[in-house]
Amino acid sequence: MALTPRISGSRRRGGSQPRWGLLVFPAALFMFFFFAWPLGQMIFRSFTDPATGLDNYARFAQTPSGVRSLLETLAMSAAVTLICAVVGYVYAYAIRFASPRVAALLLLAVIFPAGVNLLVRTFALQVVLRDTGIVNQFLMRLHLISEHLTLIRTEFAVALGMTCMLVPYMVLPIYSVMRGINPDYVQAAAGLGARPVIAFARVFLPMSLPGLYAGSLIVFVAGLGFYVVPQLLGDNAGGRFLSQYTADYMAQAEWGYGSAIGTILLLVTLTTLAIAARVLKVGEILRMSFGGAR
Amino acid sequence: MKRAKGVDGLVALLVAVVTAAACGGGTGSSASTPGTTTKSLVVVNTGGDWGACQRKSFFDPFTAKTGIAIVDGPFLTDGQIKAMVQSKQYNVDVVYPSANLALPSAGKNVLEPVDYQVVNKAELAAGTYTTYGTSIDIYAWAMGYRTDKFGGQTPKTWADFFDTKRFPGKRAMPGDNDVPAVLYAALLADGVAPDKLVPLDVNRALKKLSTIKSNIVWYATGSQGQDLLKSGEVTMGQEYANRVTSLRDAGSPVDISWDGQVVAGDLMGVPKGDPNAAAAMKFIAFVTSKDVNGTFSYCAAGAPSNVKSTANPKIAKDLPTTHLNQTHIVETSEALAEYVAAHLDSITTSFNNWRSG
Repeated sequence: MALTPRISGSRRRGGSQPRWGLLVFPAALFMFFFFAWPLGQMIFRSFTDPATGLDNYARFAQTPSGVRSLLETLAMSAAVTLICAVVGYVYAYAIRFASPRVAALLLLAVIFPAGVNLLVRTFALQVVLRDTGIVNQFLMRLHLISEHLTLIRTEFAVALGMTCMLVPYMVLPIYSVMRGINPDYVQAAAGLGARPVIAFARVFLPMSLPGLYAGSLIVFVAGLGFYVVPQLLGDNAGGRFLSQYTADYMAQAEWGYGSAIGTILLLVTLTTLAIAARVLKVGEILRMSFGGAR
Repeated sequence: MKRAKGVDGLVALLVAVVTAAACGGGTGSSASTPGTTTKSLVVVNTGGDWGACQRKSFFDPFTAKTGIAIVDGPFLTDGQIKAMVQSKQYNVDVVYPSANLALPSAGKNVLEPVDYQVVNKAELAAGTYTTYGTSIDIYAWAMGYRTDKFGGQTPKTWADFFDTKRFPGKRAMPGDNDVPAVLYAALLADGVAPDKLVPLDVNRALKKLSTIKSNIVWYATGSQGQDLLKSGEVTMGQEYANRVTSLRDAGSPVDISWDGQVVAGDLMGVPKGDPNAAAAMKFIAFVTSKDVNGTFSYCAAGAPSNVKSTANPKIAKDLPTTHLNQTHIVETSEALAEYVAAHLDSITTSFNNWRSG
């Protein structure tokens, strides 16, 4: 950890080791061939396949199911970001002020499931949520309900599934920032007569917001690309994700149309990032949450 | 390596990468140059009981006879087959094209024409082979239902499938897998005769589907559809027939109705320009030959496409071909496939718009 700033700082000190810069070369080469080049091809194709022009984009705009799935993707990702923000903040706060042993346990409980395959976890949720699943069987055995609750294939199930998958990416940046906040400040506020709620809202919360913003950004952008969760838990009659919609056309080798949809999603994502960068000073936030705030 | 200067190493790396990128189009991984003898073929294996049975009855016997090893390959969608041919990276030598891709119009730039000098099409069932694909077995979409949910009543036809008053509960349909099959079922239920399906009245089908839309659970893979029926989440489903009969045999309270089954063949084809095409044709010929083709039915409920071969008599009642005296549709028949291929785009879009509406 301590070494990182020193290495990156060498450039700023007008360092006499330009050869270090060459170390970036293999990675840059890799990124060019395996990221930039295919991405460029995709964008190019969206304007040229099958004919040159904006046909693919016009087609998307005129297809209600496509536009609807774009809106569904955006709305669901936003909702999940909100849920993750609330759940993640409370959870991170609990870790921050728990005893070291409990904190380690709580952290493990977030990180460990993230290592289990997403597909496996989604299938597990299917078993839990379906009409004949664990939750319904349990409630029926207790005679709390007489007819099964409709849990699976609802937007609720998708939101739950996505929250399960994404909440670690909210907890970790928030926790990282919270760790850097000196609790003396809160105590000082209390000493000056602030009630705990006021001390939290006026002193602690503002200082922890960078972590919340960083986590929200990651969760929202990651949510836009979800496929497995809405496919297996979602009501794919109404709310299909853009990735599901695109899959139909990719299977038929309509590369141009599929590329156009990919480009649209990329544009939406970049726009989100641009707005966030402007409003939230995103670079600083990311540095604070991942560089370890001090 | 130790002595090489950093920059030299980087230049070498650059040269290597550029060379690989420039020459990458030339040879595929499994491919050998044409003319040399083929040592192994990569054949799609979709896994499960079905895939294990294919290995036992088709792959291993072929290796025993010819010495050519068969390597399991992944299933490729039509899009992936096209991409493979365009990039000339022949990773799989024998693929499963859809019936639409195997047609003369769609297949000519993507698939090798099946060599019917090698493959004996005289013995193959009508509607199970095209210029670019040959069915190695016959499967069906049929109606599976729970026997424990309808108080002793037994659903028989697609009209019953759409009657949620007499037969309450949800319905599984392969909307993420085979949209045309869903539409055929709806049209049959609405009283369209099987031989009057073309031209496909999509709006009529969607109107019929609207009557049970809130009851439909869409699924993508055969195992998902099977699972929905097994868990009792749906009381009826348009399912792969073999998935229903295997559930029933495993003790689940389910049964099958063959009325209005949508019969189709698992077409095998060879990517255009595949360097192992000759051996691949030999493989297709072997698998569809009368002595070999029927052996598959001894480990899975797939009917032979070769009419001269004998199917396992024990499972005859579970084979789609046994029930052709009832109403049925042949999905891979040229008339139907030709129409669907020409209109697939508008069919898919209409269906999706309706589904998300």
